[in-house]
Parts: sequence; structure tokens; C-alpha cells
Amino acid sequence: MRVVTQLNSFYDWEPTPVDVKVTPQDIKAGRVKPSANGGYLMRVTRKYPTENTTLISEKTIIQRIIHEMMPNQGCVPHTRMEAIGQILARQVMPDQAHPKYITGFQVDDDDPDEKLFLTLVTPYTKVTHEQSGQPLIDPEDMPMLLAKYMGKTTPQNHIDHLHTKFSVKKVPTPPATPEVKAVAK
Amino acid sequence: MKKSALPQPKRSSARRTVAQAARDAAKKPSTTPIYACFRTDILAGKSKRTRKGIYRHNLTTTTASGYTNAYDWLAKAMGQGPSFAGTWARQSPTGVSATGCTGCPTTLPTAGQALAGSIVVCYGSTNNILVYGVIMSNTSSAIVVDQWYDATSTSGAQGTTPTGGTFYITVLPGQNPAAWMAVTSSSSPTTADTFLAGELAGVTGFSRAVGTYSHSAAASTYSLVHLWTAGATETINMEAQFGAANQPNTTPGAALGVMPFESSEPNPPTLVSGDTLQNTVTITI
Repeated sequence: MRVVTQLNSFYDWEPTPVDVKVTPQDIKAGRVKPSANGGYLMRVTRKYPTENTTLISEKTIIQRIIHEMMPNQGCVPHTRMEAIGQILARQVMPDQAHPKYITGFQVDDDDPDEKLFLTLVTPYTKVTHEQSGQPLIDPEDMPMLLAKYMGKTTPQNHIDHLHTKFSVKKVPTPPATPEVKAVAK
Repeated sequence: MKKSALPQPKRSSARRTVAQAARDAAKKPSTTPIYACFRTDILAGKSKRTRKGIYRHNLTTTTASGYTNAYDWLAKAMGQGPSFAGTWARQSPTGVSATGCTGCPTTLPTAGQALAGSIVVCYGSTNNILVYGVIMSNTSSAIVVDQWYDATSTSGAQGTTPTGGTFYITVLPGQNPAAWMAVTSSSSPTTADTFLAGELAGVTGFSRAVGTYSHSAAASTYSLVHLWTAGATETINMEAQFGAANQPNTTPGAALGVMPFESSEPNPPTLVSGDTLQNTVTITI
């Protein structure tokens, strides 16, 4: 799964100037991170257009679906498309760019992998929860989870979902100019 | 202009010459500007185990012997181009098994780190299968890979072993990327590590996995992220990145895949079944 996200700004890292005092709050908030040879790098927002490429393995998508089905996460069944949106929102974008910097998406999708899904999810129907003693994933939910995972989606479905999830306005296709119309004929 | 009129550098007894500084630096391990920062978040719902981590500097494997050393991997990945190739790079071995190929008629290079870390593509004419493998070691006529990879799998799944008929292999310049992530309950990393001691593999939810790669064009970093959802109670003490899918042997020197970056947990989290550990690694280039 390959998601290319168009951005008008993005996060990058610069050494903190010598006159800057780094506080514990800065470290805790992730505004700085350790540099190579002591000191810190600070997160800066580069304000020019770029694109972010994210490559998501099928195992990662299934792992996200498993995570969302855990009792302490509320046992929320996710489709494959929703899981991809969650991966971008929770795992990827916090380190890459603020959602308001996103201007568009391009998606190259692979097919779901039923065999891998069953291999990864089935063990969680046998492992029990620490306190309740119940299976982490109810075995009776498996057919529903599998059906949600295997649901047919097109790259355009993913793009539409991501636009909605990140509240990104769709740029309408400009009307064809007379020259384009002439070529089309 | 008189010499005394030129700006003179300030003299101080504390200042050293470049030669002195170079001699002092030679006594210490070298440091690399390319490094990783690890961050661990625990996602355990409303329990007290939930916590957001902070970035911490990695431990770069700089003194490990063999090709698992981060410096060697970085140099070969970034700089090893077509001059690496030779007449041996494309040939037809006589045998292919699940862990490599044998009977290469053109002598393979064996000096130094030889072909370790490079990618070999293999085709078998009988079952018409094309796969690739990460070279672990080689002799003058045989190559050992950690597994044959299904080139269509985004998760690095094991591919079908080619059968022949006739076999063809091509060894590519460069190195396989270190995109695999793993965790362990063991501790005490050192720069000489070649594998992650006690790597969690048989425990539900903790197997080695390909991280989610993300990079913004023109940014100075890229990141790898993975979620591990625990199927049993485990304390996570260390994480590391690898250049191959398979777990190493526990014998030093017999490691599978480069391990450039590892990091110990300052406050090792104990996960119970159902908890999730999110490990984010940002590599500064």
C-alpha cells in the first residue's frame, strides 16, 4: 500500500541555536529530539510544497485492525480502508506534518491477503484478556472482521475516505480548455 | 601589511592543535551523523500503563565485526555502485535450496565481507518462479540467503523456492534496506552487538515486522513505525532495526541481517495481553 500525501508544509529538524534553552516540557511534547553528538534538534515547519510517501505493509494494516479490536481500545471493528486512515493519522502524520498542511492524496493499493489475515488474527481469538479471562477477540466476530477486511475498495475509495478523515477539500477538476477539447477530438 | 596587523587567532592554554585533537579523537569510538531516535508509546486504553514516550538517541552498532556494523551497511548502501559487479554477478548455478544456491560456475568474490547484505535475484525455469534473497554469506561457489522473498509481498513473506531445469541468479549492487523492526525482553546493548539477544518471536504479537516507512521529499529524516499488540505479559527492554526478515542464530557471528541501530528502554514497559506498543524510529540522514 503506497500513499502519497501532497503537503503545503512539512516538519523537519534543525539544530537548536546556542541561545535556546531546551525545557523538559519541550522534550515531553516532542518539539526536540537528541542530536547526533549531544545537544538537540528542534522541529521546524518548512513552508513550501512537497509530498510525503508512506509505504504500509499488509501486515501493518492487519496489526492495526487487531489493535482497534482490543478490549482496552473499545473493540471497534475496522475495515481495511479505515485501518489505513488510522495508520496515517495516528502512526505516520504526527511525525511528518500537521493535518492542516495536507492538500491531497494519491493511492496505489494492493489486494487484501486473506491467508495473512487469518494467520495473524486467529491467535488473538485464543489468547485471553489479563483481567476478564475472555478471548481478546471473540471467535464469533471473526467472519464479520474478515468480511470487513476483504471488502472491495478502489484507490478512489481510499482517496475519498482520506479526504473526509483529514478534512481535506477536494480540488475540482478544471474545465477543459478549447485546446484540450480539440486534442480530445 | 605588517604581520602584526593581521587578525591573530586568540591564544589560550586550553586550545589544542588539530593534530592534538585528532590524536585524542583516535582513542575514542567514532560517532556518526546518521543516527536514529527511538520513541515508544504504550497504548493500553484508560489503564495506568498508557503513556506517550519521548525521543531517545539510539545506540549505533559501530564496532561489531562483520557486515552487521551500521557503518559498513551505510557505506555499501549509499556508495556501492556498478563497480561492485563482475562476470560472477549474473550466472547459472546448478542447485537452489530454501536457503541459497550452490554450484556457481563463475567464482564468487570471497575477500573481506564478500557479498554479505546484497540482494540476489533467483529464477527457476521449471516452476517459473522469480524471487529475491538477502545474502548472509558466500563461498566461491555458493550463496547463503536468510530466505527467498516473495517479491510481490509488502510484508516480506517467504516466497516459493525456485526449481530447475535451469536456474539464473543476479547479484545486485548496494544493500538490502534495514526496514525490519524487532523487540526483546533482554537488556544491556553494546556497540559490538550483531543481533538482538532474546528477540521476541514466538510470543503472540511480537514477531519481527517491516516498519511503515514514511518520508517527506526534501526532509532530513525518514521514519519507520510499527505496532505490536501483546498476546502475553512481556517486559520490553530493547528495540532494534534489521536488514532481513529472519531471526538470527544466538551464536555471535552467525547473525542474520545487518543490525545498524538498537535502543534500550529507559523505563521498560510491561505489557499485558491486549496492550499495544507503538515503536517509532526516526532516522536523521
